Amino acid sequence: MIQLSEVLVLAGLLACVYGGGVLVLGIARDSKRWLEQGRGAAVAGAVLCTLASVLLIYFLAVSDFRLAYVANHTSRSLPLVYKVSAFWAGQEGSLLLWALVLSWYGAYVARVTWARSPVLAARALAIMLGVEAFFLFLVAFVSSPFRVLSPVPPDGMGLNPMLQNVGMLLHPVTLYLGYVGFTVPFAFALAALHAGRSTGAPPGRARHGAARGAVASADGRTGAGPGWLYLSRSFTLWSWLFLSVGIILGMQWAYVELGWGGYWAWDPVENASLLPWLTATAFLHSALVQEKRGTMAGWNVVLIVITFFLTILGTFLTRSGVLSSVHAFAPSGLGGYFLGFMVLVLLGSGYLVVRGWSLVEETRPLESLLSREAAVIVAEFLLAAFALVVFWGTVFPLFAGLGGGRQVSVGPSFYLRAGVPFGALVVMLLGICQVLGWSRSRAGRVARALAVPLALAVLGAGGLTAVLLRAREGAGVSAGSGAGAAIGPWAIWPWAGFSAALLVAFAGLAGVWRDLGARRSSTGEGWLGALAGLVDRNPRRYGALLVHLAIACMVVGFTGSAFRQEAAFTLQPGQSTEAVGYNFTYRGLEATHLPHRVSVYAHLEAARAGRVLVLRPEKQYYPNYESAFSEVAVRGGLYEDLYTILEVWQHDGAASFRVIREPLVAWIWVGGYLLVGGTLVIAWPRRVAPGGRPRGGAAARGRAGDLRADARADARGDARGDGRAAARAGGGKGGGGG
Amino acid sequence: MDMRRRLLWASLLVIVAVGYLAYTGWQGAALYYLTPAEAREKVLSGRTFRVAGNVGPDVAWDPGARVLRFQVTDGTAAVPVLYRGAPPDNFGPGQQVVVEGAGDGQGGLVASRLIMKCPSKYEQAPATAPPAGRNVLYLGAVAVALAVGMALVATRLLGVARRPGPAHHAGPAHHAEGRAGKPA
Repeated sequence: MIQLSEVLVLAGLLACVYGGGVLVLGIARDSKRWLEQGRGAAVAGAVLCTLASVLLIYFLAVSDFRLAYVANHTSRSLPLVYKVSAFWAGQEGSLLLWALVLSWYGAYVARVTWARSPVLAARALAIMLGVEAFFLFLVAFVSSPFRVLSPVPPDGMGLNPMLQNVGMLLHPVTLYLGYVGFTVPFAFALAALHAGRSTGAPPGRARHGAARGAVASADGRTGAGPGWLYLSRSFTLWSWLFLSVGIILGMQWAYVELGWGGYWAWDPVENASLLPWLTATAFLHSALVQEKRGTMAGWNVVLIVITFFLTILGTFLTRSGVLSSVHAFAPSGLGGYFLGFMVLVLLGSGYLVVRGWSLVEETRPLESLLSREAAVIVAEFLLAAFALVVFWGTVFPLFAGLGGGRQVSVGPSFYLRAGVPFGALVVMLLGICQVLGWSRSRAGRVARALAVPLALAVLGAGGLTAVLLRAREGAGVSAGSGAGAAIGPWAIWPWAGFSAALLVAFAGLAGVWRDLGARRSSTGEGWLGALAGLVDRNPRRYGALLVHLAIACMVVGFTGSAFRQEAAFTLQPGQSTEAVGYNFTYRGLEATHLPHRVSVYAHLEAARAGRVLVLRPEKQYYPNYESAFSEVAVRGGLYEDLYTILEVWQHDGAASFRVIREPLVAWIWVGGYLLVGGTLVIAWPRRVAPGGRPRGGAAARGRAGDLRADARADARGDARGDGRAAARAGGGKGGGGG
Repeated sequence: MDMRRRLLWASLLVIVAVGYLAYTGWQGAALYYLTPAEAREKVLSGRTFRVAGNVGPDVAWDPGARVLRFQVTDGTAAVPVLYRGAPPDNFGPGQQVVVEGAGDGQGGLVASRLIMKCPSKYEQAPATAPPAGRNVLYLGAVAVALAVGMALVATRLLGVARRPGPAHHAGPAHHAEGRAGKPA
């Protein structure tokens, strides 16, 4: 069985190499026969990868400790779900997961996308098979999950208790789904550049691009035009969704499991997932501009190449252990391979981009600086700047170490001072963007549309800041540090953060309100009916509004961290103390014995305003691990969380606690749910029945008709100039929880 | 009005801003790693840095005052450390630790952060894999046969599936994806 799985991986690698080879040959000779062979090889690769993965999951499920991977990441007593999730708990398995997901995407492209554009799909598939071959090569020869142990151990090492958490079950796999998915738009971008260059004919347009004709670039040069964007759009959206969800799950995991009261430490591995998110977010928005206005084609190609590069870099940083990090895995021999592959990616795509630059060069000047596309361009500069700062802080220590210099690292304050301001500017711009139209907007109109939401946002943010400041003063924080006046100037920053977030929310909601009113007066529907009708008519617009609302919620949560209060104390059983605005009473220690762990927990009561919360922060002891694991106790709601950690306990019953009052943290998670909902509204595939009629809709609502309908809706929006067309530009995550 | 020129200026502005913020941010945030021996020389300077080493044998934790005293050592030199906070979960003599802090002016270090470098946490035990005592040629041949065979079969199947008409891609598409993608 183990030999069979090795053979399957090897065969998958061969299928990829063979498929890539025949596709290149077929493209060069324009031979349909070869191309068909390549398609078949892609599907074969997917089947082989799937079989190998099924075998690995089987070995994990039945605890076959002959495999080193199974022995290192599971144990007999582990629940089945964690045994199976060990598939992506380690380096070898996650490399196989990369290859597996990519092979499925390859099969989809070979089967479905091929039917729409053989010219682009063949080239893209060749690139995807190349990437897949790289990962399968690593799985087969460098870091195989099917390595066997010579003395078979009686039991495995088990899964690190910190990883036994629902968030951790899903976090790596969602992150990887996000990472892998960007390979598809990357491959299609390069495919378009290559096809446009070598055939001279616009690849997307004549054959299957009727839907895009209306929105293609003005002079008809669609070399890397909307063709590739259109074909890979759903991959881009779903990957962005998975990447976002992966990051949010990671934050949640860090918050409940790492026990320092924060969710983002600007750790290299966290940064590695933020980097492609920033560039992918920029890419999503400039792709929209290209679709609507026919400009920014060059941006799109460059952004997707960078995004793909950063996903590989992220995999490399997580899996190679080159950077010291709480998350990184053990050092392994992968570094050289990844570096080589990244150089290859940069050289190859750089060559294609430079060679095909004339196809994507900007030919249409901006009409006005007061337009949505101009705002998107500015937002992209800011996102790029943010990404550059994060990149520098993450990667510089690596270079410094390589150069023989002293090992160096940067703390969170670097990112907070150098990076977060750019994120905050993006959020402000996003608020303004909600009222801008495409092409050009009249300044007076923008000011009028903005006035009420802006005033409400600044007032609301001021109120929120005042409430939080009072809570802080009530807890005696400012009393210790002197006058309350000292807090004044400092509080401007969170006030600005809240204002930006609320402006995004209010401007967006005001737009929905206007739309609803208009629809109700024209159709006579009820509120809910009108809302459903609007969303059904233009899901992309309202989904994007929801995503931007989600970003606003998250920024509120990030900004709230400015008002975080923290205290630490040691108590004897029965003693009480005042801290962070609560009265804490420690009742004593208790213990529970479970088969696979022992928990010691403190019974802690926190009283405020006549309400008593009972918290049980724990220390957990596992037989396989010499160290204890802290399990925090968190109680709270939308206003604030009370976060308590049992740091140390003594045998005489004394216990040391750290307590943190975290205002508004829950809004980050609320934002996460909204983000998922909004992206699903945008990305949900609308099935087309065999007859070409979409399920339960008008005939014009197929995938192709969709774009036309959007373009028409936008053309109307432009004419009115009131910014009712799809509102999306510049989405950014502004705050940072140091 | 030349939009391109304006954009160029805007991007220049952003680049300058990035440079300025990154530079000033770096000044305050860059932390250099020192060995305990180097740290003994630098503790008098008052700058913040990181020292990596092992925890010395004498560890004193005062729960009432919440003060932790220990030494960080690399075997040749040792620096006394004072940390106002509780010891982390797996803290103890001999453990690898990174101490971030500044000198107290008397040859000791006042730590503001204590980071455990714990090899047991994420690292897997080295697995002893025996040399591959199998017929590599034989396995390789099987793999080649499997790959080519599957590719040929898949090509044939795709060709057959396509015949009904490429226009209705969505129907048969789900079919094919299910066959290829989902684990059985």
